[in-house]
Amino acid sequence: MSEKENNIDNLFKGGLDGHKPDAPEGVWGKLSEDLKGERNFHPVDDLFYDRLITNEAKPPLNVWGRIRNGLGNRFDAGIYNSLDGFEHTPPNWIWQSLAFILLLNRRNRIRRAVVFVTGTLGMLAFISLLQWGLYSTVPSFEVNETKEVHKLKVMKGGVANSRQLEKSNTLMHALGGNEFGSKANNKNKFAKNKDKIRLAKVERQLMVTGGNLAESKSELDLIALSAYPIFRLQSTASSPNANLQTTHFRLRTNVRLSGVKAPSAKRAKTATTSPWSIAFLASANHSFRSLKGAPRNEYLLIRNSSEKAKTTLSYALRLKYNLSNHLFVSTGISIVNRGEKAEYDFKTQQEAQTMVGFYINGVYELKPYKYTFTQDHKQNAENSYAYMEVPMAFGYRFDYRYFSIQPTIGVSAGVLTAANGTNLTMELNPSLVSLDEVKKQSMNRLNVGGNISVAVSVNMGKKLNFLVEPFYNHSLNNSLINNMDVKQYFHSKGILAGLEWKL
Amino acid sequence: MLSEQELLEGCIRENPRVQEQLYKQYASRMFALCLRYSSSRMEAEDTLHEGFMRVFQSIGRYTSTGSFEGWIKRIMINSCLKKYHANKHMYLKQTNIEDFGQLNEEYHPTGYDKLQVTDLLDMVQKLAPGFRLVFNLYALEGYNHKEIGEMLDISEGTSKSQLSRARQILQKMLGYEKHQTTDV
Repeated sequence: MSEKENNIDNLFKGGLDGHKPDAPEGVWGKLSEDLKGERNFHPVDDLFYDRLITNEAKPPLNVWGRIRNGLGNRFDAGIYNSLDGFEHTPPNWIWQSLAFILLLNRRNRIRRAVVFVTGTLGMLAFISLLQWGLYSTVPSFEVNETKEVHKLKVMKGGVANSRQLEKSNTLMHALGGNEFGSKANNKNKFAKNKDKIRLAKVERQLMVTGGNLAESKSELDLIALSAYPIFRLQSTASSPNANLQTTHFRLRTNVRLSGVKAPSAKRAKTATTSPWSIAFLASANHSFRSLKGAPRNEYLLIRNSSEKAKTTLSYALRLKYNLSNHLFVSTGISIVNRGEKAEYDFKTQQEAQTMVGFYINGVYELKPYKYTFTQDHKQNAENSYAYMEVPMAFGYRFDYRYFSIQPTIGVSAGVLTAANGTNLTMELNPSLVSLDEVKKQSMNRLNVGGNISVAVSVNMGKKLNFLVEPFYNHSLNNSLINNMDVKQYFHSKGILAGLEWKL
Repeated sequence: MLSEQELLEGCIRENPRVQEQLYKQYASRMFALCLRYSSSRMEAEDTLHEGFMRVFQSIGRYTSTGSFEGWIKRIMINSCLKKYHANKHMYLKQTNIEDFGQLNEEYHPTGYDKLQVTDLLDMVQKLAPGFRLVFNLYALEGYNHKEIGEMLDISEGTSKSQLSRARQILQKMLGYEKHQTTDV
């Protein structure tokens, strides 16, 4: 760029830099019209827009009270959730149960005294909270109305039946009125002829509620105190003849005190931090077996008709390690009992040879003699095979509020520790089958299987769970030694149940 | 005062103190809005209650793409519309338009500086529900007739007609004719 051009640039830059001329009048008007496009605002619109769009109006205090009440349990949950590491034991149900029992007992002087004392204390607490400014939220005023209508058919001379009388008395009792008496009393009270009496209870409650949350360093780290003065108007209306019009005025105060107890530092430090858990389980094992490779149908026929699946008890100690919030692996040691119940009842025919002496031409000679004989085999037996196994499983946990569902898949490897009973052996001669004592030597010492299960874990406490776990185990190897012609595979299904402790 | 982000996070955690703080921060503006859309103060209180309940219940779904106050405002307007749709069958008796004459397009409301906001609110609240909604949505919220039609489940033409009638009624309430006669 030449020096001359630079000078011109500087001239304009120096002259115009910082120059801020006023925009001609009407430009904004034109621009706003263009921006409006099709929109056509009337001056009435402008008047209301200008005055109302920035307006603010303070809502009445009870609206927040209603919203807070509407948030309900979530309100409490919010408090507890914000206090990480705290163990909360809201004893609401205890107070409610006590109040219920007290209120049920209408004639008890103690009840009246308790109501009077708690009512007075509640009112004092409520006033104090307001006085000291401890009341953290606005009071809530609510008016509730409930209506209960009860129809009672009255026959000539009294109440129709005992059930109706009972219902009516219950209602009258609740209303604070006199119970319906005997037929003689009803005669005077009700119409002479068949009539219908309509009892209605209309209850109106004016509730003033409030509460305070205060943190302290005492044993109770959080105290929630709420007072509920209740003004109740009850009126009863019935048929004119019965003359049962009654009105009651009551003032009652309910007080609820709930505390959140802080755990000790030691407990807080270890609480739910360990990913390990240990479970002690027992199961009812229904074991059955499949046979493969038997050379003779007769053998299979006898076994399938004589042997039945047997339910045995097994035990397991299981260690679980949580990989994440949902994934886990588990292992442990299991004592697994398998077996079958046998009722053998079959016959076998065998050929035998013996030496028989004959006199042939006056000479005594021994000659071999072949014959066939039938042998009965009858024996009942409880066969059992005990394995010590180490399972390895991989699972996923679906958590719900009170329980979790945990499907798992895995393998187990075990060694045979004991074998008892009577088994059907197949002799080398294919025509012969016989019974023989079960021997460990004829069994495969190793057993490998695949497992699937779905556990339901119910939360019984912060660290304790109750487990119920249906499972299926499928053996992958022959339970007999390999030089036998037949291969036998044990499978089992059952339900594990036990307790799990989070470490 | 908590920041908008702190309010959001606290309300998602359902912290009651933060919920109360959020309510206190926006209640006045939202109540004014509800008053404009309602026929009475009691109805406005109900709408405010329902609106804030929906705000607290669905605050986790706020995506931070628009302003937070705008999101709350939209929920309040939706609560008003929901109430309108729920009670539509009760609004058969509409205001008789003939009583309010014709709309003067050249009309410029002046001399109303002394008019209180409560007076203007009172006028809006006296409008029939359909007129009131259309007037609020068009004149104060800035929605066009197509959008209003979709919101209220009416045609674009009906929206225009109802806006025009609402203006007529308000003009009459403002005492335009009397005002004009006095000036002349």
